[in-house]
Amino acid sequence: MIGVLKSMATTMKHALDGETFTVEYPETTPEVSPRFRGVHKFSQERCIWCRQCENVCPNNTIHIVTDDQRNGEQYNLHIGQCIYCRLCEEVCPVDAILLTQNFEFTADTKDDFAYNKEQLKNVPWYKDIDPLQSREPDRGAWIGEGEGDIDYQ
Amino acid sequence: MQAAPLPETLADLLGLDPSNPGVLAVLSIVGATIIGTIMLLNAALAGPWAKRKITAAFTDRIAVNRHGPAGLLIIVADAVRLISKELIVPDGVDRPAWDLAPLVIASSALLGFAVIPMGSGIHLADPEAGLAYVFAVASIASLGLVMAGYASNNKYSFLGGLRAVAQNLAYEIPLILTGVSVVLFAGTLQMSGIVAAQAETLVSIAGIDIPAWYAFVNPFAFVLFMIANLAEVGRNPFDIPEAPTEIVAGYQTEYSSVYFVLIYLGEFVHIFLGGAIVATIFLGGPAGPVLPGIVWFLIKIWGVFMFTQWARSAVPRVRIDQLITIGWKGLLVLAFANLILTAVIVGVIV
Repeated sequence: MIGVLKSMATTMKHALDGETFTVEYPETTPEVSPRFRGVHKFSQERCIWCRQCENVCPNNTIHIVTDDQRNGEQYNLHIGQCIYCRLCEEVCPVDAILLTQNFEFTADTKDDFAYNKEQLKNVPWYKDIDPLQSREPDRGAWIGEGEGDIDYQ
Repeated sequence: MQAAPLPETLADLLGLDPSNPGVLAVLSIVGATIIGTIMLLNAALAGPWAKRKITAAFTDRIAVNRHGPAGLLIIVADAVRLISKELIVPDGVDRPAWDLAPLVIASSALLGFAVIPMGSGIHLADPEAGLAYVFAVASIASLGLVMAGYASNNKYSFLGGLRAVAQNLAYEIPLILTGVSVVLFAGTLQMSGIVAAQAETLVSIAGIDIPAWYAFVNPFAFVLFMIANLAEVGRNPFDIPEAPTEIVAGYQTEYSSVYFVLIYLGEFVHIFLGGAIVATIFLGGPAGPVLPGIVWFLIKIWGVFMFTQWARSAVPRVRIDQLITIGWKGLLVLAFANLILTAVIVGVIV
């Protein structure tokens, strides 16, 4: 019974302070968490065509085509098929593929979501945030987990 | 002085003879139309618009605001959307009952407003059994729920109808018992009499007269009635019959288009009828300073509607067995305790 009264007091407090959690989207863009996983950005300068991202991808979203000299020719990624698990970004030794905060992508057909190398290179940063930079503290904690008395790895 | 029922007021205004049965019949229909229009306008406002706005305020969201000022035109958009949909009649429905159920649900709630004094002379009839009549017609809605559930030829609807009627039975008894405790105080079932009994002054604090509204005289009964009323109109935490997110609409699963609108509107008119009963027997009816009676009456009804939305956003839905337990083992016992307490107070002290 006390719980019911408490919850009613809480909701009334929120109703009276007049703040809203949601935003009117096209006019004001919502705050995106640094750890949000949006569209991929690809850097051809960094990529060493090691194909680790292609191998680690759980649902074959990434397709890499190389010539017989192992020089990269194509890097295709279907952002409509991607499950945004961030494994490709984590496995990449040179940070050539990054998941930006950008969620604002639309298309008329599903095929339009099959991005090639050029399209992936042209994906804009979201609000000029470097996703790798903003995820860095998180990464440090993740990597540092094995240190200490008990080795979890 | 009590305001005359609406047909006689209209006869006075138009200079007609109210003792003529023909004139009285026509004016009664006119009066019923006026009251029906007022209540339907309010329910139409409450259904598509106010519900979203209020719930959004409680949950820190922005509600409808794109259509017209403050999103008010969403009512028009919703009406067009719902009415333009195809009316789908499933195979094997029990046709007369299936067609009648939405009408029964929608009209049973409207019938109750006939005897409720709304102030400013808007009062259609004032029979001696007023409160009993209101409870009687309000519970006709249960019949509509069973009709809708049974006639739909759908097991989910059937179970939904049974759930709804189990709940209505469990909560109607505490509701009416609490209403009876008010009748004991007022000494009459007549609505105008109950309102008049609340016009006296309870206490005077620093020159401000606190009226003897039964919500102040017997707050325990008021709380009980508000809770039973929530269940009676099928709102959270007691909205198991409908339960839109978990068990998908229950008795109204098969209804579409205009029939759905009727059921939906009927539910909101029912909330307003519940609010009108609360306002009449606990909050002094149309009584209030400065503003005309009808305005005060509508403010009180909307207050009760706000309370239902408040409970909706704050309290989680109870399971069906918990619901029946609360009704039969909790509210019913408390309602009887309240009734006996009131009888002792009225019989011994007053």
